[in-house]
Amino acid sequence: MERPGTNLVVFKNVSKFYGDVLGVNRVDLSIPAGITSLVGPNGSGKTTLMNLMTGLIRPTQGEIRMLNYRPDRPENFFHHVGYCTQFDSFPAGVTGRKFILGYLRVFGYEPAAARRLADEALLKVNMADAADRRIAAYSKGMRQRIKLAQAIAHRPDILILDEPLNGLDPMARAEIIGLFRQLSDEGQHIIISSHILHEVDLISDRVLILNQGYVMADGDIRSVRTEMNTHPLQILIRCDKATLLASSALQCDHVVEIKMHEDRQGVLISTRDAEAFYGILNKIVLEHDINVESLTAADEDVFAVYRYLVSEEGDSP
Amino acid sequence: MTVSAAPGSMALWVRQIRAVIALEWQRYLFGRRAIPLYLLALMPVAGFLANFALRTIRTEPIEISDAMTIFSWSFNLLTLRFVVTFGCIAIFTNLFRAEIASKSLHYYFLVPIRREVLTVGKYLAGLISAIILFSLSTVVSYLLLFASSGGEEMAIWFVEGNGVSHLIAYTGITILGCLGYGAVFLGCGVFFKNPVIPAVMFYGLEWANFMLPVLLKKFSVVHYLNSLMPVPVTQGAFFAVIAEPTPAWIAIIGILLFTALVLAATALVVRRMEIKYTTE
Repeated sequence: MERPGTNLVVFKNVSKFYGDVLGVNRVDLSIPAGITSLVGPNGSGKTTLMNLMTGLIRPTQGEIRMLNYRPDRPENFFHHVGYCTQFDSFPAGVTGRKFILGYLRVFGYEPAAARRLADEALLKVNMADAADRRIAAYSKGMRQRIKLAQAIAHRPDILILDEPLNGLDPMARAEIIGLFRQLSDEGQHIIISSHILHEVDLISDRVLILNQGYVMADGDIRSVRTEMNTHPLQILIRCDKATLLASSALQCDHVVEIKMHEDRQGVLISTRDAEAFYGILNKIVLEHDINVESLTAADEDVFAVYRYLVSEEGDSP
Repeated sequence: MTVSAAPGSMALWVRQIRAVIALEWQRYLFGRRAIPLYLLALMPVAGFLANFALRTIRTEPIEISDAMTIFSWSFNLLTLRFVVTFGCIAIFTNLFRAEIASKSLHYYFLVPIRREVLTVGKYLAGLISAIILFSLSTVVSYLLLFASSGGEEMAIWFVEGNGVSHLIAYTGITILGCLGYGAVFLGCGVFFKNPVIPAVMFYGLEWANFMLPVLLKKFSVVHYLNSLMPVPVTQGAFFAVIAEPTPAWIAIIGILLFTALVLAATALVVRRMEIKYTTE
């Protein structure tokens, strides 16, 4: 499968209102290839955005394109796009295999081709053994996986997943995240929404942060974090001479706060210029022969960025 | 892997319609939803079976001419105005509405099928179920009633009389009834969140058809179906407004055109339909 160089998804000034209730407002965005995560609390507009992408709902205003196809023209669109919604519901009385096979036949596939695709999808989500049981007898995790199999069965270029990790135990979550990575390696582009932030953080190339129907930030997580000047970056350093490191770091203009760990083996440094600090840190370490055990950006993850953005939103008049 | 039929081609649409029918048609014949439909379809059958049993025990065969009149009335009042109408309400209003209620309609909307093609597929699936159930009910009722006339009389009626042509006519009217009412009630299920009220209103109008002015009669399904009856039913009530029956070919074409128009309007609404389960 070819990875398109241009943007996969383009929203131009898209708004969606449910009567007087705001779904999303004046969204302009472009999502490039790779894995993109939509992050935000309940009601922030993640599902609305995904439903708009796939034509399940229509924008009140604005225009949406995915791979240059319009979502309101399903006959071409859904050959390229698969959507695993968060609705935990299925047609009554069907087995997992019949569920996938039935809709593949609606695509227009010949029976043999549909069976091949269904088997392939069932294998990918590790549901081949349970495929001939009724979905009504499945556990929540199995239902999530069979939905996922249905969404990927036609080998879409773009896979949209609304809260796909909901209701899964840690083992199943790890398994499904592994599958996302595999699909991405095979060339599929994934747009995923989740509020399990650290797991999203692990797999995403890019993040889109939503709150109350507005897109608050988008880009790769590091650059989004770097652009947030109002919140200094926090760097956690575990080392043998933490006090010495702290006093040296205090000489730098861009260091705004230093907190010592109680065991005196670690220091949390807040800086407005992370790049400059990393340069000076090398000098300090060499100069004082400090043995650094670990060095991590304490708030350069989705969760921290999201927390800062939402609190900024709340603070603004 | 690509679909072998060309996008937008008739071959693809036919294949997709067949796939939708395969997913849908059994729901109203074998699922839990089928129980009230079977009860409806069995109502005239049960009546004529009881009649057959009693007449056989008492050895009181029915006259063929009486049987013709009785069946015509029974078909008009019970089968057409009750069994077929309520059966079609149950089947067709639910083709979309039941899937909205069970939150599974979106699976169809996430497949590369034109919504118009999906509408036709669902309609045909409902039609197959309705025709199987209610045509069978008509045929079995007819055979049971004329069997009450005794084996010899029945054989003469079917071989030398109009037995077969009447049976074909009644079955044809049943099928046309399913076509017309099916389209109307499919539309009710799509246009209205609660389709029962408009469906019952339509049903009331169909019942009151014999009282309507001649012009308004022409806008009802039952008027055209009555025009096709092999044994006409007198509109005997003193307040009935008598209208000339419509010629058979106009009645058939009228019902087919009416069905096509209602289906087209329904498909347009389905094309604009959004998935908002929580507000439905």
